[in-house]
Amino acid sequence: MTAGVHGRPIPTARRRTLPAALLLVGLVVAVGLLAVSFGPVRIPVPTVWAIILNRLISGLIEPDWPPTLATIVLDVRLPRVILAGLVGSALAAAGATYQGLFRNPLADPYILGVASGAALGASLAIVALPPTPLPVSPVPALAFTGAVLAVAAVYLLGRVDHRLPTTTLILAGVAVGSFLSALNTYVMILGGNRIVQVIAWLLGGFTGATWFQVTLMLPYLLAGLLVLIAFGYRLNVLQLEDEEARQLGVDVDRLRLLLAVGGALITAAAVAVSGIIGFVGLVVPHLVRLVFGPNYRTLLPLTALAGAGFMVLADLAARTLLSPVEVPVGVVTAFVGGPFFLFLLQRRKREVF
Amino acid sequence: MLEVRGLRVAYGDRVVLAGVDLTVRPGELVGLIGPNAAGKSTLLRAVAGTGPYSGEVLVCGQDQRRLSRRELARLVAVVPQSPTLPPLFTVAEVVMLGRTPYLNWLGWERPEDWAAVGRALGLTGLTELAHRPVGQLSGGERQRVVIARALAQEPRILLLDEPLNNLDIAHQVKIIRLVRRLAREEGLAVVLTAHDLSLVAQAADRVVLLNRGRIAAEGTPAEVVRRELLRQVYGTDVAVWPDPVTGRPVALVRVGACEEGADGDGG
Repeated sequence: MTAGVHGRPIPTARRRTLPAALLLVGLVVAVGLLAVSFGPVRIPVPTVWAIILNRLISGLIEPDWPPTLATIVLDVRLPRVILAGLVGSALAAAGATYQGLFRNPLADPYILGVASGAALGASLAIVALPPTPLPVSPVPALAFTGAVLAVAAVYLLGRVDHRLPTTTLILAGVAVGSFLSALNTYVMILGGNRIVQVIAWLLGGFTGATWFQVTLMLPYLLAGLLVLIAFGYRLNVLQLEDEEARQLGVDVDRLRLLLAVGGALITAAAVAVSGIIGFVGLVVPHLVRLVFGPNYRTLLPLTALAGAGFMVLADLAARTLLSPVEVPVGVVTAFVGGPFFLFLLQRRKREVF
Repeated sequence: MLEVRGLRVAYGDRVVLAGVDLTVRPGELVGLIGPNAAGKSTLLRAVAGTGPYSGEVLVCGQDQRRLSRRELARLVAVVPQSPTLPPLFTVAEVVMLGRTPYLNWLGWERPEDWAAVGRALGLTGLTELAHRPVGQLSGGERQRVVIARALAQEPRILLLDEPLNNLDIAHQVKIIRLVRRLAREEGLAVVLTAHDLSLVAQAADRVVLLNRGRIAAEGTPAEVVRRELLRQVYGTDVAVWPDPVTGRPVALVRVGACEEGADGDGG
């Protein structure tokens, strides 16, 4: 009975996390380089390296490549790959957060109405505003505003007596989402032949990505990811009933609000620059959970990394598979991610969530 | 250690606790008994700071209302009646959740947190199972995991709400022994609710009988587990004998003969 009473230290559970994270970082960089290398013009990976290095530290390497290649790498492909990576990590991290927050394996980044709010904002920008001569499109700004307003409405409607129960929050998300979708359909019909542009935006993707979009989303993503990863540990406590979590000293409602807002911010930023890309936010967290276990402390950072790699690959496939035609990246994520996920589920044959 | 004065809890017109006074000293194990809806869980919830109340709750001499949730969780730990255990989390991960009130905002686990978890696992005999997912454990093991989680909080007061439910007699005895040891050796003030009157009478230093939101009786097991008193409170006939070995009362519920009309048969 007395065995181990005097604090025999138990082996640390943080087994494979750091090596896994480093490996994932390496993989994401490799995938990114590969994605920059492939395209209508094939550029060898060493040349890609050289061009990027030369840009970072000018004059480091004597250029032996035509200037057009540098333009393709630096102004066309690199921003696109980086944007895809950022959006992928945002959607995956937000998805993992919401799955934990709502204790629901079906939760995805759009569960709080972000997608429908952003869609309505984008539709209004495309349909109602005259085509601007401005160099900057108003679409991302309005999409972002729509997303944030939708989440704010869901929060206000989902609140009960200063508390934030998960069920009312989800129901408010569904209700606000359907309402805004209906409005959006109406706006689209009013839009006449601009409906095509709206649909193209809704399908989502990274066509014509620029550094401007990258800088647009980066601050939101960094701030949101920091909040999620820092407070991710407490998502473990939220896996318990609210009362148990409170008895462990956690202010459940404040924590839930903080995480919901963090997730909504990065999702809104992602949607504003890339449209609505499904599946990544749902499946990538489950893939990471299958491999590395359910502890949110490690799950969140690893999911953010895996989401980046997954999205870069998906976008690479989207623009090269049927080249010169581009497949919407959402089609690729669902088409590849779905079967792959089912394959892993079958192999594991155990509970995932 | 724990002092409850004039505790009242009402939901609208429904009064659940109508003025309860209770003191539990360090190292003391108090058994809380009473019929369903007597207010046992409500009492524990109020002490743990997760239910509304009027009156006064003093935890280690401090007004419970003035303590933050975090401070309170370092002094009072609860083993809930139906705890949730996320099935894929390992035993060690679940027990580490008990360290939540000690971790900083980033949740970095320090060596003393791992030491506390190791100690809690040792006390509950779970060291060998540390890395097993809790979904794979038996009912008795799961109950011990929840107790270990509470111990990892390093509380001064431990509240257990029906910890013996759904356990076979061997596991009931194990849990009782563990809880008694925590009171004796670790100096915890322990309150335990249970329906098995004989077990409570054997385990507890003091028994409190709660009925309709008031304390109907309080004292040593022999003073409270008495036939007349139990019949009044439960409205059920119970036979009570002293255990020849310990002298503590043993209560046997009289179901009555199966034949019709035999209800009044007191034997």
